[in-house]
Amino acid sequence: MTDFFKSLIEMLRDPVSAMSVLVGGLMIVFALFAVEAKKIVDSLIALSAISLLSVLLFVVLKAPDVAITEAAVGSGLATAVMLFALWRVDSKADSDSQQIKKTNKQSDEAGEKR
Amino acid sequence: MRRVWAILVAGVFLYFLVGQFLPIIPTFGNVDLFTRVAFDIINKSTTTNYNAVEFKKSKDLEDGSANVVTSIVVNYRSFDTLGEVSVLFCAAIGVGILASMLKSKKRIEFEEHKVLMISTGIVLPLILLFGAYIFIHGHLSPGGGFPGGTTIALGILLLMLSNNEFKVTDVAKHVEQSAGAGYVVIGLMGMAIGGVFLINFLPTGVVGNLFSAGVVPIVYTFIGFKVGAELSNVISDLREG
Amino acid sequence: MSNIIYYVSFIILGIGIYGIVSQKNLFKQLISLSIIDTAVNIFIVALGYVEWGEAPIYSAITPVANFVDPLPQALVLTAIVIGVGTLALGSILLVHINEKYGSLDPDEIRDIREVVE
Repeated sequence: MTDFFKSLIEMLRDPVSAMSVLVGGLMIVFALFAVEAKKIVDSLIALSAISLLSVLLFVVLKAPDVAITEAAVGSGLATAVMLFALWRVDSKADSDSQQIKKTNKQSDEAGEKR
Repeated sequence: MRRVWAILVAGVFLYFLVGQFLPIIPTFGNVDLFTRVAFDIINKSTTTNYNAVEFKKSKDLEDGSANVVTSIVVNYRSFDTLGEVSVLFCAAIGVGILASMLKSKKRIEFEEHKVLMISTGIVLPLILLFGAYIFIHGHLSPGGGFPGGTTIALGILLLMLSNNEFKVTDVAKHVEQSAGAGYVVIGLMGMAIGGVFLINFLPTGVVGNLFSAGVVPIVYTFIGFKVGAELSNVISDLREG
Repeated sequence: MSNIIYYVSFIILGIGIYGIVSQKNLFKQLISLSIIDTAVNIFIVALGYVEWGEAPIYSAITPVANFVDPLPQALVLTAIVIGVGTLALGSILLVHINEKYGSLDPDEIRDIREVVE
């Protein structure tokens, strides 16, 4: 039992392993949130956060070129492009769950009746 | 039912990756660089004999740039970079054509804010200068043409956000097409002088100086201008509809 | 157990595949595709790591070569830019699909097309 903990701490002294456990765990949480969110805007912001956390991993893996490119492209431009496209999509198709779609349809029919 | 299928598909894929692929590749970090192609590329000796490269001392090597990744992207595998530039070009053309075919011609309007307008006046020249610094020093420090161009496009996005009547005019289109054509013209000049398309025909000086590495800074300048103008056009097309 | 970064990138890949198969909104499928792109980029850069290697740039601090493998980094540089091109083109196509069929749900689009034809 203590051998297992000793080997765990010995493994975490290495910067790549420590960083990959911390940052990787955070990325897994954000990825699960991006897939299961109800509104699409939340998924987009989680995607931007995943790109930004992967920049940390690229720096620890001694790849500065890739880190600068991913920071500029992934968290700046991709999010802006998808937000502009999402704004153009109708507000009825904007969210994912059945309840929000039903309330949208009800408010539409109420507007048409008047 | 859909989630069960999804977990099953992801599980089968992960089983094959973790169970069959991971035992074959060497463990993380235990790589012997002498058996890989990158050994010749690091020591800049793919066509010449092996001679250890030193910073600010080696002169007139076959490549001459201090950043090894730049020497791969622009010199040894320059044709792949030409392919990447053309893929980005096709994507930008697709966005431009499809965005002008929309039926609802709405324009995304931004609210104007006094603090943003004043601080953009201070910060925007610094952003453009920083983007130009990244692609001019591509052969000496990390970066290169692609993040430099993207930083310039993000500066234009900031200008668009702070000033509601700003339009990206035709200047961006002309800059993009002349920069893209400039890259191919350099390749053809290499074919006329050296006999091979995209060969490095200018003299490579001392490793580590600003004026070194032959054609590499010129190519990265062209790529920086092209990517900056292209991404500005993409964002402007998505906004104006 | 020191190749834990391989496991992390494989788990994120699995989450991305789960997102593509199980989600009913086309925008969510596009976002899951981008998650898969990021995970594969991390994996490729991690394949080239050499223990006690430095960043592959000749400078005053590292005048002699003791570098990590620079070839996967050059490939990933191209892959990142192509990923953002794919994302831009895909999202403008989704705007067109929504304008023509009225929703972004592939089951509803299939029903509308069968009624029309």
